[in-house]
Amino acid sequence: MKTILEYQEQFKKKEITPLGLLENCLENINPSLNAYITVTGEFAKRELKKNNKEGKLKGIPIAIKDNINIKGIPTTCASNVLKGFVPPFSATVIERIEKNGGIFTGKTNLDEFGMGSSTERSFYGPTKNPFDPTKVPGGSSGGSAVAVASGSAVISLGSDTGGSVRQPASYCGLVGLKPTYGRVSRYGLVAFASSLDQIGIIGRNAEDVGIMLEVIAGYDPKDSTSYEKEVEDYSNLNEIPKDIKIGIPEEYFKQIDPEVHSSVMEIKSKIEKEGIYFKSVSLPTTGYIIPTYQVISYAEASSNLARYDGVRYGLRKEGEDFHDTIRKSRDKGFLPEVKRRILVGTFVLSSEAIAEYYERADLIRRLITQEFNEVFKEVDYLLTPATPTPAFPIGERTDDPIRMHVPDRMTAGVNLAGLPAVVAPAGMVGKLPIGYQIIGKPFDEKGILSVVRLVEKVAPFKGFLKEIQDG
Amino acid sequence: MKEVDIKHLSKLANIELDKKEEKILQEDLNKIIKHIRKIQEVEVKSTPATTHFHIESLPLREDKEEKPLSVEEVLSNTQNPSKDHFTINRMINEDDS
Repeated sequence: MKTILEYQEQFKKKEITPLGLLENCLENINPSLNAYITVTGEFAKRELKKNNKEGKLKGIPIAIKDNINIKGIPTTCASNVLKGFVPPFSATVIERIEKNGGIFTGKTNLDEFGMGSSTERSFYGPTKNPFDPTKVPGGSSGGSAVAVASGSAVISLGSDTGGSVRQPASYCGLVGLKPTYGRVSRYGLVAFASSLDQIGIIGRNAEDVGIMLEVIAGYDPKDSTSYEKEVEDYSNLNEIPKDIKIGIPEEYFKQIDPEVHSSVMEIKSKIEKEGIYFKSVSLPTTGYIIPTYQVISYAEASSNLARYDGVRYGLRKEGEDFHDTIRKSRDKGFLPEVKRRILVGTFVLSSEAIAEYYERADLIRRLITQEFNEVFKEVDYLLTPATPTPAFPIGERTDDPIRMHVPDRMTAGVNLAGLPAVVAPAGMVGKLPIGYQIIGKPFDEKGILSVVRLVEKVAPFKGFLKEIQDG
Repeated sequence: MKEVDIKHLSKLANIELDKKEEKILQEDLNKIIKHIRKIQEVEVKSTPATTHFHIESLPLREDKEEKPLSVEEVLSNTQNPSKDHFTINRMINEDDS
């Protein structure tokens, strides 16, 4: 598969033009996969004529999850409640991509407001996995993963609150990065759970993901939780990590498919031969990650989503009076899963339940974070499966609010502790890809991407679906 | 475990639910709350609350005036704007006054 640098080399040699590459990407959009809510092909072509900026993403077609604002293009969050909303401002990440010459193929499908693990719970219908259209692509950034896997974008942005970038990357055979909380500005990302949300990247290899991170990372005065820390050369990954120790947390290898177990162990043995030392470690609170994540994320969602009242933007259903209008607009605007989470979030924050649920979950979050901190005194990184199983059938879990959270078991602890983690392909089970995950210390994005780069060298993944044709 | 009062919660959350939805969500919520009760097993007496994990300071931006959105931009997404206002239904009825 070609990398961003290889495409740019082709531009220089005039083997392909940015317009040609964009047109090839647009031709690869397969409507039956339903990866996009809005295709912005004409907008991209106009921008390409105007935008001659030299930069790290010059001429690269990029898909954007439809909860990140691009000025003048509708943002739906896959919800009826944002019907007709066109943002009058762009997210900081979008401005940074535009400054670096990137162009947008469209806004991609997601579970409504990012609440789901399958991209089935969208007002615009489910997205399908290009490896097997009867299976989910993962979620909630399923559209962004499918766009890259099916060749309609070279790279994409998603958002990761409990695994929403990493899990679809795993189900679609891609590299998915969730940066450290604070590494990338959240300004212009529609909030789901503000203390967990982080914009992430889905690409075909570690170097491409590193290039995108170099562009979007860094302090933003518009996001007070963004961090003033130097942006590293995340794409310079050629130095093979030496003398590093990787921990294998035993709890992450329980209740997973045997094929997932053996594929991740194969990755381990291949990089062990490169001189990397492995050590078994334990994270005993792992079993409490999902309920803790549910309490905190639902509570924050119930508060964040209170803004959708039909007054200033979005769907309005007129009622008998002001309050009736708000209640009706929210009833017609939200799908059942979002209503469930708002209601449970309202419950855990209510005066009779807050101490027992929200405050307690906040303390357990501290314990989970402390455990990671302790383990990182002994090892540099952790290796885990990305998901317990390959992609599951469409429709299998939509009515089960508990079972849908099962894949989050591998990923949500990272969000609770604010850590960086990357998922990359470990192999195939039948015709479906599965992934491994590398978790790192805060702000060690370069380290975790270097481990993925090493795996790419010693065990290259051959399951990519579609090469974007040369122009 | 006490059942959650779905009517009270839907009022707090400002979401109108019909009878059918109420019944389904009541069952779902009981299941979810039973599941999240698992966190009661964890001993947390000596644990301090979470603040921010690795961020030593959260710098505020300079207190400088910046160009805000125009009135037209702010009103561009509302239904039936009136000059420079959002319009909503009456909040206080004559009976309330």
